[in-house]
Amino acid sequence: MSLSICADCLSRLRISHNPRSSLAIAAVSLTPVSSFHSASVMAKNNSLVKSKKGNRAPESKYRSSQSAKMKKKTRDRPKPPPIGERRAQRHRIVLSNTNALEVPSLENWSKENMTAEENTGRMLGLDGALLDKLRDCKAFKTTQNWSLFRRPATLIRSETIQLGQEIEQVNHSQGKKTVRHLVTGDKASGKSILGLQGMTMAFMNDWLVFNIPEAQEFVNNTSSYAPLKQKDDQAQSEQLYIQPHLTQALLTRALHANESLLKTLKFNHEFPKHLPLKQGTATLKDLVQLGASDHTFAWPAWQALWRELSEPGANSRPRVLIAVDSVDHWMGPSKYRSADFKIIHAHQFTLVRQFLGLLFAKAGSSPPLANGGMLLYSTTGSNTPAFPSFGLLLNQMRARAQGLDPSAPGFPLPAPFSKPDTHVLELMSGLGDVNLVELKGLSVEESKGYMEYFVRSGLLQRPLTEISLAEFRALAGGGVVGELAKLGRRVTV
Amino acid sequence: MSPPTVRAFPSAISWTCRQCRINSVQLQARQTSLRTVVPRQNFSTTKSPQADVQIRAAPELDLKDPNAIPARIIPASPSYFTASPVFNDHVLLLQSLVKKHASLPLAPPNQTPRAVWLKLTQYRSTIGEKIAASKYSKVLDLLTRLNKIHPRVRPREVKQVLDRFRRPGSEELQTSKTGKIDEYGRSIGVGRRKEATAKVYLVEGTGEVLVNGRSIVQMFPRIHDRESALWSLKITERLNKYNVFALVSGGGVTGQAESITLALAKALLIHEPALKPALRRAGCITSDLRRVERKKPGRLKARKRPTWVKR
Repeated sequence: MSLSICADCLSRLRISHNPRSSLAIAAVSLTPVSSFHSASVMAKNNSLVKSKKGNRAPESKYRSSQSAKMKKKTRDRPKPPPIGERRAQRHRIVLSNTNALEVPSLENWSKENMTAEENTGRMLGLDGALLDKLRDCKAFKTTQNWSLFRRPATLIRSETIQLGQEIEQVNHSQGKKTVRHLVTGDKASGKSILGLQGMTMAFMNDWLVFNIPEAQEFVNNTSSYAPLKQKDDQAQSEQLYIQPHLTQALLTRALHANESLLKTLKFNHEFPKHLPLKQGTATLKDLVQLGASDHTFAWPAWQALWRELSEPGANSRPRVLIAVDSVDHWMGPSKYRSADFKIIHAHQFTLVRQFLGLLFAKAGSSPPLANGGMLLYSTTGSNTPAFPSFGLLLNQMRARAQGLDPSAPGFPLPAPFSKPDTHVLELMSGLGDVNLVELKGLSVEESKGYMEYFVRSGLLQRPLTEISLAEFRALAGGGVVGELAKLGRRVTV
Repeated sequence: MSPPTVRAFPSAISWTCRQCRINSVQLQARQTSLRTVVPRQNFSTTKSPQADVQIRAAPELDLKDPNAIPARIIPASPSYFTASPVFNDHVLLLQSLVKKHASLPLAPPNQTPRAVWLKLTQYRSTIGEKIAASKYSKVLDLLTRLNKIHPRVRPREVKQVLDRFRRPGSEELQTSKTGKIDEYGRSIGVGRRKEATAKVYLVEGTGEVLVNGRSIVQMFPRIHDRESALWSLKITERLNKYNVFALVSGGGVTGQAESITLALAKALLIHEPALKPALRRAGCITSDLRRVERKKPGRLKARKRPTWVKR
């Protein structure tokens, strides 16, 4: 607190009676007017009154949101593309990029240099007729970076050479040799490309190729299905289901990819009477065409075709390659429901059961193919369903590959109180002949050849040195091929 | 006669209005004019100095004796006339030393002796002058320059001056723990960033990388994160010379990747200490101490205020 009067004035008040000093009191009694108001106090009051009398919006009793008063803007949305356009865009296979440079010294991959070891780590081109066949059997996928380069070419890696040598062995063997491969590996490690290379080599050797590009289609409840009529002796076993449209699609792919070969194949056995085919003159092409044209005939046509291919007869049969991609979707319950609304297991579908039975054939069973061939199944790394029983199956295969005996203490077994999938466990008895191909990163030589192709195509505008190659390989997790491609096409400033 | 003042009030509450102040000044002026006219009784007991002092001339200069008082007296310190002479002396001393020994060879950065200088507050208290931080940083620059002179050819005067500026007890601070390569050829580095902590085991090898036992591709799907995790190896071009085994925990993807950068750099320095300047230039040595600012009550996030709503 300070005094309300100046100390000097106060003292003067007390000690002197000078009338001059009343000035101090006058100064105190003055009403303080702040100097920054230009208008007087009364005028200010007047203005307040005026504004009260003026036109004002009626005061609402409640608070209302501002947005209700605002007019909504009408946005003209662009017209959506016609039906099917987006899906076509998604599935479109682009095999060339006209902006990429042409690589002059690119050799073609053919039957002659199929297994040449010196081609390891080189890119080899795919030529016309082969491309059409691969395209017809849906071997190309959108994830495989075909659209980066001027013309389709593929990297020959050591696994490719090994696969080619096995194909040659099957060709030269007189017996009914069947090679079974299950390809696994990390995401983008080249599993489906290896499948494509297997198909390419099979086409080079005039094999019959059946391809299932996406195994998930069989279990994700997007296609028609029907219960299979069971014979009396099978009444106790579980209900099986056929998938007519998927069978038709399989036959369509097989028809277009193998048309010239199928034309030459005559029937060895009699086919069911209800198929509208001429007994005697019909070839297997007619049979496949029948199934491909009408889904109601698809399943019996496939059965007749399979009998022709698996049971030996008077006419010789070609060797067969069956390629299935993302097979781990077949290792658990499907999205389909039975008539009493129970979940159908993937192994209850006839085609799935048949193809898995081929790969995991029980020891001592008859050879599945009349003239031998190859089964090339691969798992998926990007869309992996969580089926622990299949993981166990893979671990058992790894343990076997390391030479561990199934009775050894370290052999992987189901966890004690878990409920493993019994359908998948049944497959374990047929693991003996299956060869597990685990794809890892490329070797240094292979990754060098691969990245050099990026440089020569003009995608990677940086000289490739030992150090930059080491950098690419380290960043790609030890040369995982898909990751290398990502780095190769990355624009660096 | 002094103006009447009220001494009963403490000075905190008493004040004087402007009018009174003007009056008092005028009054004093009138009194002084009066004083000249009317001689007043002086109550002082001491004599006025003006009365007895006899003004004497300075002694004659003896030009023959050079040791006599000089014609112009020069202060001992060149900064005698400045506000803070000690500090200025220091600056001038250091500048002269830098200038004098500018031609001496410098030690390479990894052989420069580590120096801990006096802190600003310590320096202020030693010289008793309030020096601005920016001015002291100039002193530090000069000290750092002098410290760069190769230890083998460093003059004694430089060493003495540097010792004067060294922080007391800094000898213990200087001995940082140097890591060792263990019996398996591994070196260990620890790094932190955001909430993540990484421990890296580095061993000579062919460029394999495992993070938490998984491939780096699985651990860091984004290429950018992989690049920042391996940045210290990439910038020193050692990617195919070492194998990395990293254990990371806490934080998010970016934090984990960047904590690996620091840990990897520390582990690499144990193998190759000469890489330190290169790694420092790449930003792999200095750790980022920033953490997430806490959320406050009444705010939506750390700083964000709720939207203003009328009533």
